[in-house]
Amino acid sequence: MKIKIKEDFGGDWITREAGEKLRKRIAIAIREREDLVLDFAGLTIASTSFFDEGFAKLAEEGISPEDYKKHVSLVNMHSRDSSLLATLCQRRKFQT
Amino acid sequence: MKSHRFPHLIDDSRLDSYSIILEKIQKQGLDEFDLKATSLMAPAGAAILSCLTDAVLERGKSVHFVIGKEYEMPFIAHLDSLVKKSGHLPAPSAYNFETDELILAGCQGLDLSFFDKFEAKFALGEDLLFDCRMILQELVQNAMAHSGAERYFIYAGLWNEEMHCGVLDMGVSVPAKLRQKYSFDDDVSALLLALREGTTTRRERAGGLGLYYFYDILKRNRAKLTFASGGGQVRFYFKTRRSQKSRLKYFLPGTWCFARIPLRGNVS
Repeated sequence: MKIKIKEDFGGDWITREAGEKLRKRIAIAIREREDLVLDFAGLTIASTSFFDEGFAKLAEEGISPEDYKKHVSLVNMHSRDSSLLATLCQRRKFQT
Repeated sequence: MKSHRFPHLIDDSRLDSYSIILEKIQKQGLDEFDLKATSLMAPAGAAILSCLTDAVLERGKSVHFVIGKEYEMPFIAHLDSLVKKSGHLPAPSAYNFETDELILAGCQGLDLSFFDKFEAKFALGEDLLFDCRMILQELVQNAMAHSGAERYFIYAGLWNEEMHCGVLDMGVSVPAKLRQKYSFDDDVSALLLALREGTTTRRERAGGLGLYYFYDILKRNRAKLTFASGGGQVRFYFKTRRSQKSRLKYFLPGTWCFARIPLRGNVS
């Protein structure tokens, strides 16, 4: 399955509310052992709230970093967004 | 008609002078802005003047602008025209204003279109564009999630080889919001607390990262930050590692945040 953030998130890809919505979708896909592609084409996220809530808190959903790596791939992400995401995940000890 | 004379330059450097104007709007019915002496307006000045105008309109009054003949100030002409056209309560977007070097938007709710305009207008380096976006988005989220303000003003503009940007709201102040959970001695301490990692009043979706990272980005860019809310203001000069913390003479009902980032060859 592919989620195009720009199309699927209705103009909000920065808030914690939007991040929570993404996290729930990622968690469902992983639990159902489905492969998920998150496409960030045409976007700069630049939001600690969205990344922290959407990815770094996956551990709180009982998702392991190993399952995340196995099932989720990120495409077309801005290089600064990739660094920011890695920093935030590391902070919550969710090693992506 | 109660009048206030504005200075030669309207910018973010002396916030006490604007907190006094807000006090006069609230308590004395100030409704005339005497701008005869004003010949310069920094990007922050446009946002400040919008906030002050809106504060008068919100009280059901109109604003009379006294404009000097010798200075051409397109933004003041824009405000004058919107007050005359829109009557007492214009939509936030009525304040929107753009020149080659400035974008100002009045917003209600989340509107990321400002950032598309920002990136199209300013030919900054990729890293600086990202940093400015992160700074402004963080401030927008705080204005929306915590201040409860129905509208806020966001601006970005070039001024004296710096990128100036910020967000101003007239909602619940940062000290008032933090007081529900934290103890502190005064409003200046509350502002410093807000910039610390982990400070948050959210119970669900708790974070407390945003303003901490925002502060860090400004530090890395050797920027200047002015953060005023309630009864306090703090200024950080990251290039010289100096800071100033002081009480505002009059209460600021809301949060005003201004950043000045040196371009240092970032313009492509």
